[in-house]
Amino acid sequence: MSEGRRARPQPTPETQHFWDGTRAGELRLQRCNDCGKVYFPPRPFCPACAARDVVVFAASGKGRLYSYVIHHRPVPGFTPPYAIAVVELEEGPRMMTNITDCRQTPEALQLDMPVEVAFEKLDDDITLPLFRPARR
Amino acid sequence: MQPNSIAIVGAAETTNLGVIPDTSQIQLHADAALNAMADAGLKPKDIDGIATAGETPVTVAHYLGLTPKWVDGTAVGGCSFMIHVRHAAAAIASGLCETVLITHGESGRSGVGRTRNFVAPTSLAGQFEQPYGPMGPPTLFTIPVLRYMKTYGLSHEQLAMVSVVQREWAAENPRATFKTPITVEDVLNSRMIASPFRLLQCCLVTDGGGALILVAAERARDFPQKPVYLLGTGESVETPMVSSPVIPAKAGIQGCKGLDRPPGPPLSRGRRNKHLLARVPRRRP
Repeated sequence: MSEGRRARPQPTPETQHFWDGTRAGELRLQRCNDCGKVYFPPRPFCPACAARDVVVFAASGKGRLYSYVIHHRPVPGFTPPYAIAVVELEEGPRMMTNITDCRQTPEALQLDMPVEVAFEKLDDDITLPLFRPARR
Repeated sequence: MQPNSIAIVGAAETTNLGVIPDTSQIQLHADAALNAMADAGLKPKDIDGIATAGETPVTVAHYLGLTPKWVDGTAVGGCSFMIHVRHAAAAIASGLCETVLITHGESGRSGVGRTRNFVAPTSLAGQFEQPYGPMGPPTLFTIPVLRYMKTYGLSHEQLAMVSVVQREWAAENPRATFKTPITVEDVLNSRMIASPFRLLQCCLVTDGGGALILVAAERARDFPQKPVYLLGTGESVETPMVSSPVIPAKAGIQGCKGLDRPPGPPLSRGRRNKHLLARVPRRRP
């Protein structure tokens, strides 16, 4: 692994629920009570209709591999080659992630393959949502 | 802005281009600015508006000894300077200022006096992208490409052809760093950087800069160089996160919403590029 450690997110008041969620083993998204839009990343209002009446809920943690690159250069905390991926969640939003429990090759990483969340604890504060090929 | 109402009367690059280890970022801005002023036959006292990105307009104005009455520090990435042209045109057309200097300078290769683009760990990109190991444009702008290839049936050979044609265009620029023609095979055999993107598909990182001087068209003939008239401009922004675009169809945004230009044929002259895909050699069995 390259020297150093991977970049650590620093939660803000508006995103704290997400990081509390991953620490508790939940992938939390938000839904607008006015227009029904499910969105990510976190904000205390709906980016589709500007309503402030939004709720946090636990997502299924399931999605599909939307797109990715396989990085071959050294980055602190990573062993190249590694995939930097975007998954599209069952509920709609997309998020960046790494794909774990999977060879980091174009052959193994097939677009649209089902994936599921796999939480990776970095420290007492931060648990990252990674994704792995779905097991069911 | 009315087409042809604003003119570029000074344009220059830095005295050197490519690898310039003895010049800092701010001096690259200044070197390009001084060359553009010389091109237009102007002195610092003649400039009353300034726009820049990378450095702040305050920093560049002070460094050059200017006290502008109009400034713009719009920083939206690589097309900031195109947007500065639009903003300058609007400022001149509305009488806020008369003579605008736009500067660019980047010590990308040598890193002398470089201001870094720092992604704060509290920002959304810092929380929801940086932890997954991206490192600059080759690992971020490229992420949607595999999806594009699958959706539209684009092949690796066709994608490589973009670099081949860009090199052909570079060969016509006497100041280009690389002018030797390359083939699709060269591209596909170059070192892998961020699969599917290889070395010859990544931007060349260089030192250099450029500057423009804009005035109202009615003043353009007072300057020594043949003016270049502004036909149209456009601007928009979408997202600082590649994983979280505002999806155009859903957001009701059209790609060219900000573009205003006169009616007529497309401005692009890329005749050769039209045949770009037709020129891709067949994949060997």
